[in-house]
Amino acid sequence: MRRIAVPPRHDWTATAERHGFTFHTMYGAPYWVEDAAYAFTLREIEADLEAPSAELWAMCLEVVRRAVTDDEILASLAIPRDWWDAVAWSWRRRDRDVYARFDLAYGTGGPAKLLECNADTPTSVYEAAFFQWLWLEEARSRGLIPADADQFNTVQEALIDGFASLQPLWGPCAGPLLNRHTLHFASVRDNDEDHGTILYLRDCAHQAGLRTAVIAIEDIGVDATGRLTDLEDRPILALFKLYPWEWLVEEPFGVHLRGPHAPMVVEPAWKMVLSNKGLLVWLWRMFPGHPNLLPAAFAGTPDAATVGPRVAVKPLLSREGANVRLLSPDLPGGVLDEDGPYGAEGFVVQELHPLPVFDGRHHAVVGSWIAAGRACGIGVREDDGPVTKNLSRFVPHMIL
Amino acid sequence: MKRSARMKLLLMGSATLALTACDDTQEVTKAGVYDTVEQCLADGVYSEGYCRDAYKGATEQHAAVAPKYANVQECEADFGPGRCQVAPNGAVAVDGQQASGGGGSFFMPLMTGFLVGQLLNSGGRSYYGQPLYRPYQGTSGPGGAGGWGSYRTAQNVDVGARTGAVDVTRSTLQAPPARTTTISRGGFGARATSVGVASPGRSVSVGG
Repeated sequence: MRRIAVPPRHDWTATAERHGFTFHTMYGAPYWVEDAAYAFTLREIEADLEAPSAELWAMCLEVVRRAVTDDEILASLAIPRDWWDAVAWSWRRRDRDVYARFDLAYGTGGPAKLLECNADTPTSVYEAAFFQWLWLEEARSRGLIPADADQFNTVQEALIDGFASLQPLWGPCAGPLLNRHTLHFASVRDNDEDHGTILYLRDCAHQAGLRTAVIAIEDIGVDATGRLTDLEDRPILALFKLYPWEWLVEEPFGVHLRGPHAPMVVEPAWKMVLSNKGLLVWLWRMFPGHPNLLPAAFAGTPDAATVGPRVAVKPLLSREGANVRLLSPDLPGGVLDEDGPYGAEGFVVQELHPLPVFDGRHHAVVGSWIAAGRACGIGVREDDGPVTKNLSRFVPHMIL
Repeated sequence: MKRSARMKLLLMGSATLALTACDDTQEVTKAGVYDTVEQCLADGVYSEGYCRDAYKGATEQHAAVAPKYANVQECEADFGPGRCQVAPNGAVAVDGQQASGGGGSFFMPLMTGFLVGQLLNSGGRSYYGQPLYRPYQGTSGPGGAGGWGSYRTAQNVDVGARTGAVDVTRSTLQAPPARTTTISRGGFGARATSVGVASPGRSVSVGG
C-alpha cells in the first residue's frame, strides 16, 4: 500500500457536479481528493483485504445468529428490551440487508485489523462505488495513471443485486402487484452528504427494478392504524432509512417500526447487533486471537484491564469518530479525546492499532464494502489525525 | 479485472432530466368505463377474461380505496340517497377520524362502475380494473337540478359521464396504493436535531 502523487483531472469538479456529487467539498475543505491515489498490489487486495473481509462478514453473521437467542448479548449492546423480539424476528424472517462497511487498519505490515463495522448507516458509498470508479476510467484514458491500472470495485453491481434481492419479499403476492410497492428512501433534511447518499442508493434500487421515492425522515407521518405515510398520504410499505436504528427506536414513531403494520425496513432491525461497538467485544470473545481482530472488552469489566496499555475507548453507539478517546504513552499527555454527543450507553475498550501514516501526516483507513453478502470493493479515507472523522478526505485507489 | 466493466447512473445528476423526458405516465391511452361485466362484454372491445378480471380487481380494491365518511349523511350528500354502505373496520375517514371500537362506523359510496385498461409493465401486458364512483348532485347543489355526475376514480379523476371507450392518461390506469389519512407527522428526526446533524451549515452525517 503506497500513496502516490497523481495529476488530478482538470475538470473533476464539473464532472462531480454533473454526476450529482454535490458534497465533494464540505465545510470549506476538499472532501474528494485526487492529487494522490493509494496503490495496492493485487496480492494485497485479494489476500489481505478481500478474503479477510468476507471472513469477517461471516463472523459478524455468527454473532447475530447467537445474539438473537442470547439475552446477555442483546443487553450488553444496550438494545432496548422491548425491541429484542423485533430484532430476533427480523433475523428469523431472513429480512434482507443490503450493505455494510468495515473500517480496517492496514498498511503497517501484518494483517488488516477490524477497527469497527458500519452496518446500519454506512456513508461514503457513492464516492467508493461510483465516483472512484469513474476517476479510474477517466484517469486511465487520459494517461494520468498507468493504462493497466485496475481497482477493487464491484460495489455498485453488488448494491444493485442487494436491492434486487428485496423484491420477492414484498407483500404476500407475487407478480405485477410487486410493481405497486414503493421503496421510500429517507434521510435527514438539510444534509447534503446524506441526501446525496440516498439519491445514489435509490439510483441503484431503480436499476434493480424497484419503484422508489425520496422523503425527509422528518416528513414521515403515521395514520390512525399506525402505518407510516408519505407526503401524499400513501402508506410506506418499505423504508430505506439512512438514520440510525438506535435513534429510531427512541423516537415517537419508533413503535410503528414493529408490530402488524410495520413496513419492511432496510437495513433490517437485526443490524442493531452489528452497528454497535459491543460487536467488537463479542467477535473477540467468539473468535479470540483471530488475526483480523483486535482484543476488546466492555469498559468497566475485569477484561478491560487486560486489553493493553494502548487503547481506544469507543462509545457503544457513535458516528464519525465522535467521543472516541485514545490512551497511549506515545501520545502527548497520554490521551487524545474527540468530543461529541455520544457515550450515554457505555463504552468498549479496544487495543489501539496504529494506522499507516503517509508523507508524515495522512492517516489512512481502508473502508471495505460488503453488499449482497459479498466483499466487493474498498475506499480509502485519510485524516490529519489518528481518528477518522467526518472531515476526513476520500482518496481513490488503484491496483498496480 | 477486479472492477466492474461498466456502470451508469439513471436518476442522479443530469441524467435525471433525460429520464423525466421519457416519463410515460401522462401519455394518453384507451380505456373502458362500464357499469357491469355484461356491458363490458357487449361493447366487444375486451375479451370476457379481461372484463371479468377487471371487474374482480375493482371490487377487491373498492373497500380499501373508496373515500370514507364519518356519517352516512355526509356520504349521501356526495353520492346520493341510498348510495352508501358501511366501510369495513379499520377504515379512516376523509377528515382523519378513525372508527372507534365502540360501534362507530364509517361510510363509503357504493362502487357504481369499473375502469378497464391495458398497462405495460416489467411483467408484460396486464389489465387492471379500478372501481369508479358517481357523485350525485341534489337539487340544492350548485348544479341546479339533481342528477348524476361523471364517473370518478378513487383518486377523484373524472373519466366522463358515459359508459364505453374513453381516453385516459396512463397514470389514471395505474392502481396506486390505497391512500390513507395521516394524523401526525414529525415523529422521526428529533435525535438528529439534538446532536446537530440537521442544522444547516454545521451538519455532520448520521452515517459513519
